[in-house]
Amino acid sequence: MKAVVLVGNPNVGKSVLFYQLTGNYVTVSNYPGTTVEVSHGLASIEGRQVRVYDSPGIYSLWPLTEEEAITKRLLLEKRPAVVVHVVDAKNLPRMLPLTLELQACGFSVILVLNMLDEAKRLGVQIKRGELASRLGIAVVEAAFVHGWGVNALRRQIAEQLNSRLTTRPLCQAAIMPEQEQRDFMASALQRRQAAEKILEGVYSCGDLRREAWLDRLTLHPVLGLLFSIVAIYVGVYLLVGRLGAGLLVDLFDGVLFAEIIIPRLTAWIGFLPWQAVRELLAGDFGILTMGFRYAFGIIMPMVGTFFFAFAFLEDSGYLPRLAYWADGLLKKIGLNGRAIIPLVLGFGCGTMAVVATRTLESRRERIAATFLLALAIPCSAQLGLLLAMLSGAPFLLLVWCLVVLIVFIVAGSLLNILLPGKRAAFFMELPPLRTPKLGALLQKTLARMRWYFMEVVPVFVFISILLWLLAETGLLASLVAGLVPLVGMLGLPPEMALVFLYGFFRRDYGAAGLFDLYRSETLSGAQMLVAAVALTLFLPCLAQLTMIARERGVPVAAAIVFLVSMTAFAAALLLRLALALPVW
Amino acid sequence: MQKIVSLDDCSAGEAGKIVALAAGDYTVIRKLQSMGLVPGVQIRIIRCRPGFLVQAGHSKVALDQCLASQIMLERDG
Ligand SMILES: Nc1nc2c(ncn2[C@@H]2O[C@H](COP(=O)(O)OP(=O)(O)OP(=O)(O)O)[C@@H](O)[C@H]2O)c(=O)[nH]1
Ligand SMILES: [Mg+2]
Repeated sequence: MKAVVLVGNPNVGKSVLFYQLTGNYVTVSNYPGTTVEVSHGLASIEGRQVRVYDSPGIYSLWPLTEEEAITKRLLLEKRPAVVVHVVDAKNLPRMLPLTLELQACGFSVILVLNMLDEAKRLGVQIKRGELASRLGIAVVEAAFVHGWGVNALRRQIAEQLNSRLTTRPLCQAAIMPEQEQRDFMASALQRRQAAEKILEGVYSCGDLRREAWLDRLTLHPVLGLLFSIVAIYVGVYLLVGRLGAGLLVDLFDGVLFAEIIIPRLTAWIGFLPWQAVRELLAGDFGILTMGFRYAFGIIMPMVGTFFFAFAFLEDSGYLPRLAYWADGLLKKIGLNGRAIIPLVLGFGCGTMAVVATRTLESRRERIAATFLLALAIPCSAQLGLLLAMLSGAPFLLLVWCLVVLIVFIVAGSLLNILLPGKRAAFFMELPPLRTPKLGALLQKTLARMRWYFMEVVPVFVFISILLWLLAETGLLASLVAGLVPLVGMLGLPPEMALVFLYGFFRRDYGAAGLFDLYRSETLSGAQMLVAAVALTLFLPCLAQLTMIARERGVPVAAAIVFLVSMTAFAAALLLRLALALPVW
Repeated sequence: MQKIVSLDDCSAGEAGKIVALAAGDYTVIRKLQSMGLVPGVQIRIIRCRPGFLVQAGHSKVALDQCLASQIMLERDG
């Protein structure tokens, strides 16, 4: 099957186009570096099936980061019949050299001038016909978020597929890594000059001084800070903490599960003759009473609201601005502003965030960010539950925040000293702030929830079965007995041993267990605090761990596990001492 | 007033044309290049603190001090 590869600078709309062509949803957000993996899907182009690939954004065929290298490899390996180069029309002068580079490598390129809606608004004018004839390739005008230009592009792809030109030999040498730096720089300069010449009389830049008031607000030091505080308060505290973890959890878990589903199920299951099976389905660790209840009653409402708030943040284009503000602080812990994106994503889901560390330049930064994600960034489920538990006591919430923040900073500074290598210089393009579209937000939220539950539900069922097995065989008792002294050292009651055991399988599961204890009022305020800190810092969940092993390698993953559990225990122990909490 | 200065000696609101990139380091040059910050390009400085924020064409680019110091600028006016 013929391959069509979508390439272009980051944040130009490749993933939107991918969805329009194939119907497969991949994450679309308003910041550079959203896509870090290749996705592919089938599209039918004028009756012909082709395989379309969405790729991570690149600036040139000379990669600076891992995800750029992925795109280059894709282009080399798939030998695409057509390469669709998507550009942001208003920034054509900056992006056209890549078109020339692709052409020089022998690809048959179609140039897409996307975001024409924005370009028009700014008064940018591009003479498409003239541009096409100067380049000698097809040029398509588009605004994919509005669905414009997709059909025109389809026609062009079909034409390209039918023409014999597609069998041009690929000039491998032009994209081979052996190329001399100096040669590359020289040819880059040539391409830039060529691009300039091509655009003469074809592109006029319109109004450069226009700036939205919101843009000015978020870039103002004081107002910008106030703005983020208000945004965090509304998004995290009100939406996730109050609505998701409060109201919706009460509704789903407190009413739906506790009053309707579970009593009925237990009644039905009561007819089953085997005690062990009854236990498996509806006992203390039952698949239905615990696995499904935790997943759908407690976790789902929180994760859902969180993902929604998060989608809003991503689509607004605020994250790169945050990167700009945070650069100085992150430099102190050996990272740079760029790392804010994976770190903030970690508040959504640590597993996704580990993959997003690919956008960091050096291995040293990737390891540091992965470690901090595993240690001190609670995921959405955890955060929601902790907010729900601690929001009754704002003081505890504040102390929890402070402790986790201190651990984050101390761990980061230590890593900065210990890890070899230099940190990379910070540069990032700030996309315009865009008004998020409700449809896109819902689509992203649902896609992520589906993905999350595909991952979570089997694990929850598995944990239920495992715990049931352990309980039936009596192993659970001895395992818990082994943990009890450790838990006791932290000043926590024996019930917490089980919660930590859950937490080992999944962070959110552990948090849900803690939530259960909180509601039965087993823990005092100080104990809650210690438990919350320990669980936040504790091991990353199984999924995240697998991803760390995949992205960073098993030795690094093993080191991270060891160090994270040590740090978590030490921090919780210190906190207990500081609180003068007695050993249990 | 000096006409050619490095970007990190400029203040917010100033504008000028990039005349050269000082770096001997290719990685630095490539980074600037990928942001469209190359000789001949007209830029405007939006902010200098906490980092540098410049506008080139229709894009805004954030840079740290280290990268900003590599850009030689011919001030307007
Ligand atoms: N106004 C406007 N916005 C668009 C258009 N196409 C895409 N966008 C927005 O641009 C942003 C980036 O879109 P993506 O599809 O994620 O871009 P990408 O090229 O896949 O980016 P990376 O994955 O980071 O390389 C999103 O916020 C889109 O909503 C368009 O035609 N007009
Ligand atoms: Mg993408």
